[in-house]
Amino acid sequence: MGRLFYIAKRLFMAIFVFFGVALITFVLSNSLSDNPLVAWLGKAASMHPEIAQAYTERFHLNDPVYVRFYYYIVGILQGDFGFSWSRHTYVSEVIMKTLPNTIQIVFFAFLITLALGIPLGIISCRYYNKVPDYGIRAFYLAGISSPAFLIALLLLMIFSFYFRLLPTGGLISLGIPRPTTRTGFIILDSLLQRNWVAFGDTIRHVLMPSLALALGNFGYVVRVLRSSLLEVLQKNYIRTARAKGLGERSVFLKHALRNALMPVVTLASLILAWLMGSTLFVENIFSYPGIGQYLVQAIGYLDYAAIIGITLVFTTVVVVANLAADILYTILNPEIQL
Amino acid sequence: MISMIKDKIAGFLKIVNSNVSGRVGFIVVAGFILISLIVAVGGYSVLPYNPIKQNVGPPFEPPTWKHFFGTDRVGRDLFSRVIYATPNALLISIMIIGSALLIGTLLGSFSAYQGAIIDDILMRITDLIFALPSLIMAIAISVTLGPGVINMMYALMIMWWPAYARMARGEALRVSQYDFIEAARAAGLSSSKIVLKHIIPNIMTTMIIYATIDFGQVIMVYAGLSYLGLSVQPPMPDWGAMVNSYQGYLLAAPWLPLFPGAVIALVVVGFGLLGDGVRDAIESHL
Repeated sequence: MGRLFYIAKRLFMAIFVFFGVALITFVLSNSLSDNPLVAWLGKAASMHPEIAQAYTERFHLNDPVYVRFYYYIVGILQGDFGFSWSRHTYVSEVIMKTLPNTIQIVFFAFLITLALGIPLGIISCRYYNKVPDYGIRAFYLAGISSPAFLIALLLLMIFSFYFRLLPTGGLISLGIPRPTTRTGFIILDSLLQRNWVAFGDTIRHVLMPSLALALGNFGYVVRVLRSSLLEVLQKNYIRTARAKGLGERSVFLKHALRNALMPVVTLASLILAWLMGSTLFVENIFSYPGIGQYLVQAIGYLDYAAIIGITLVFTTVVVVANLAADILYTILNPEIQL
Repeated sequence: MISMIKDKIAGFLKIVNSNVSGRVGFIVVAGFILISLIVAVGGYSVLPYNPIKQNVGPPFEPPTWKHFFGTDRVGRDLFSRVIYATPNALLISIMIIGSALLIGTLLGSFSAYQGAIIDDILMRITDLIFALPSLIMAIAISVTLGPGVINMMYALMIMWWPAYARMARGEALRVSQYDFIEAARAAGLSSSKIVLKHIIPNIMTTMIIYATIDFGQVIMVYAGLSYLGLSVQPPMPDWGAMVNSYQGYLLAAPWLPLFPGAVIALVVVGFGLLGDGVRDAIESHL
């Protein structure tokens, strides 16, 4: 009962946040101009009178503000964010094409973050206040203090310009046969269709952007895991486990690490949000056609419909990720019986 | 009053000086503040070259003793440009942290003391803003207000106070338990007086320490917005914007994007070390 109640509470919170964001973006887009068409179509309002007409009717743009808000909510729930004049197509269409690419980067970045953060956190704790600990702390402090664009440029210089190991950018090399689009995730598509050439190539392209994101964020995992391990190792049940005669390895893995990883689960959703935010810079530098690059271009063109639409999608992804982490936390942690 | 502030500063320096990371961080941060003040007072005259004047050196000159950070395509001195942008960074982060500190401390402590509906509403609002990705929201707000450094500051101010409000609320709840608050209430002081005179002075130290730790984060987000062209407009130099405008020369003249980027990282590292030092010192005191 307690667990279900807790999940229901988090779900309610997620819905509340979603409506809050919808309200904020609605207020923002209405503050742009007296004419609500500007928010939906931007400069396209005068270019495409037929679309302007359709939007005015569909979203009741001549009605009072509360009516417009109702249709705005209905519109965004149906995935209609307006017309992107910088791309000459609907915002939702561009997002459908670009979001999978961003999710690809964030997925690999998340894996690399954990693959770097967890072992380094363990080493940092084992060698507490010794040379490896200081080295790791210096390394992650440099990572979390560097803006994502600096890390991306450094990686580009090292791996593309100096060692010539990885491509400088893009989704897939020219001349490589692309897999047919099924899921929208190009790496998954080429894997499912056993197109190994495209698979290897797309992996090579996603590697540097993901690494750039991960290097900026793995430090948080190291920091949290290190301090939670240090705390857990002081606990009585660790002493009990040792007194039982368990090997140090088994005490560490089964008793200490499992419990010390709980704060990392909570941190995971925050990290996901930070990774998403940093994709703006990384995708821009590696010209990776994701939603972040779309946002950077939309800012350049002052394409309001696109900016508001992307903001909504970004926050929704973050809110859903938070919710998923909360639910995962309740499943992993039996102590939550609120 | 002045002697009290002196004592606090002396105490802060003692905390900072008690470990290596605090000391190194303090040196970097103090250097950053000192350079900002010198440039803010002296203007172009304290710089080796005029930061927006072209052809002060040959184009694309790599770093030399004449041009520490090299020169760009039109022969502007990169070192002067980077140094000239330091007061921007300091002023913007002080404005954002200052407003967050002011709004957050007032709202947080009042809502903790008053409780009831005001507290609930405030906490839901902070929950909401907490759940949002701050960079993206700041972008959306500053783009709709119109690109420019003032609007960017408004956007960051809107996104930044909730963390402080939540912190102040927690601290104020703790302080309200003490006997002297009970005594003040018994003496018939109004609640606004109790909050202003007795609660806020007692939570200020914690709040200011949190603000010190937070500075690096503000500079990082500000650099990101500046990179996206939402801050100081060209030809005036700004760190993030410089990285963006020079990143195309990464292969031919790597110093151009890398030096401004590295300066951002250096300042953020400085605040990070200072924060770590302060935190370690306080934890070992407890």
